[in-house]
Amino acid sequence: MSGRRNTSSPEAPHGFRRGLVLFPRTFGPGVIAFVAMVVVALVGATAASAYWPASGTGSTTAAVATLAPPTNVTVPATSASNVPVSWTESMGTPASAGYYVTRVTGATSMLACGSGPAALIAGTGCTDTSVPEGTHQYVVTAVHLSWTASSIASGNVTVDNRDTINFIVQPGASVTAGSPVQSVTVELRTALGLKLLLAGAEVSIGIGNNPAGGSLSGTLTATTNIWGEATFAGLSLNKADTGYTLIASRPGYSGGVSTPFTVTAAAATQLMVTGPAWGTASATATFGPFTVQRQDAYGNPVTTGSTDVALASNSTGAKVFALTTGGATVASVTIPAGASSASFYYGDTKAGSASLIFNATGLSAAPKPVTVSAASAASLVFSPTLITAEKNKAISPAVLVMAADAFGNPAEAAVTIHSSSNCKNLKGNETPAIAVGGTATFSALMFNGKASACILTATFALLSADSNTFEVP
Amino acid sequence: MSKVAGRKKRIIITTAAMLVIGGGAAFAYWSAIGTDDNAATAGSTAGFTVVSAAPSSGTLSPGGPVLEYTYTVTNPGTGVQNLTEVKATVAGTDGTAWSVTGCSATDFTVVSPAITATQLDAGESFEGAVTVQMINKNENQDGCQGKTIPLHFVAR
Repeated sequence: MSGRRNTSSPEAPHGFRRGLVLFPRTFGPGVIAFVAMVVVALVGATAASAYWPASGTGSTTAAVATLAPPTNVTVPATSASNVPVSWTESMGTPASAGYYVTRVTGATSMLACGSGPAALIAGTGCTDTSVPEGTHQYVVTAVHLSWTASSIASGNVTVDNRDTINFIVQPGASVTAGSPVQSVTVELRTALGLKLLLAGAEVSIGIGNNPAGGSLSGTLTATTNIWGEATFAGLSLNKADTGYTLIASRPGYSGGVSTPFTVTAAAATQLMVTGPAWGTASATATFGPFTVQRQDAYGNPVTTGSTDVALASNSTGAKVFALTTGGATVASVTIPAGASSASFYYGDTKAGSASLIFNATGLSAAPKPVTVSAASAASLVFSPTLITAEKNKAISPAVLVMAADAFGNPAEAAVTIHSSSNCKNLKGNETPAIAVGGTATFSALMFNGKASACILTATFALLSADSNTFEVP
Repeated sequence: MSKVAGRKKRIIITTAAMLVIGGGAAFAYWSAIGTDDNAATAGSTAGFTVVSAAPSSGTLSPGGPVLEYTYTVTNPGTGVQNLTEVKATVAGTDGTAWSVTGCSATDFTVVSPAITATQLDAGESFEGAVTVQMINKNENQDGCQGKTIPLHFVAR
């Protein structure tokens, strides 16, 4: 035994060393193992006590206001061609910006008092002039920005006037948008229904029933000849729909209303594409739906013929089109005969602005601008890749953590940094840094004391990234 | 000599065995907590609770007032949970898209300000607010008049 330490030997001397010999004999393996277990358990417990991600939801409701309609719309029971209309203003919040008035005759209605959605009446009354003979009601509509609120209809007013206007040549049953309506002629009549031979009287013409909000173009006034007749040639309407009427008027005369006619769409000249302005980066076509519509020069949808529309994008990323969300890739979409539009979806892996480009034979199409935003952060990377530190000094250059989505686009993330357990004196990481434009900047990281073999770990949601191992001298 | 070596061997083997057992116990504990928290992520009783309140006055209208809706996120669990985001959208209580005839979520702008990531202790709460405004579109929005719009909050 000479030359050997015999601390754990039964042959060791009495006293302290002997005690050391008895220690493992009495408690030895169990105590050591117990201590080890406690250490391991504590280490485990420390890890488990770190926060965990969680989620939860809640809900509430928001109330939307109501625009109050005007009330008490009043007209006389009988009237000559000028009908006075009055009403009580819309009350409450939001306040009305003004009103427009509609004259209702049977199943048709037309704007009255020279008012309209874009020509509001500020007050609470107006006079409807050159009203056709017959029985009418009036509805007043309050307007607040994109909201409207219509009154209940007034009582009946029966218009009976001495002089009237009568259509003697009616418009054709159908006309193409933008093309001249067949010339129409009106005559002046007396109270007995006889032709009024009055030359040089100016008569105006306008749209009576206006189902599509179209505009009437051409010469809208004409002068009567010696037979008391006025002819309107070259009139045209721009919006396709059925049930249009024309109304001829002259102060002091009850207006004349034409028979109804239809305006049809002209030949297709353009494509109009509508859809969302932005979407998320994706390798599949999930951005949409977009609708490409075949239109004439006046914006009327055109249903005749079949049109193939080639789809393209000027994005430098990987881009795809599909007919359904996430569907098979296509290079074109077809607008079939009988329909005016078709839909598609778009996918693009490159975040940023792009233009969708459309090409169809004989049709013009404006590019559709879209913005693709980065998908959720999928990776974190430290920059610089080699961090160096010195105790009590802010780490320089500042530590940056780059967040990117699955396609490499800079992504938003609230990045948190902590140091390895052997380097607990890190400061300047109390709050997470928001990765603006994909870069989270930690400019005040500092170790208060020396440390060795340190590693910084950046985390966001379930993502994490480790820095290089570095010393803090 | 061999007696001593045998004892050492027994000690080492016993210690190693207990270390394994001890380590195993520790791992089981860690694992149990993780499972619980994973369940919380999936919406168990340990998920965040979110309670929101409408403003005491004011209603939405096109281009009208920006209304503030406060919320309180509470950690009902027994451990610390990390809160990084609270986002509100116009959506049903299950988060699905909401719309009625003539009115949909696209008629409203909901702003959920970014929050500073916070670790919530058990029972601890976080308070914040989102804002809601109705967009004034260049088209008729009568379908939204008088409607009750659902706001859906997600805290994570």
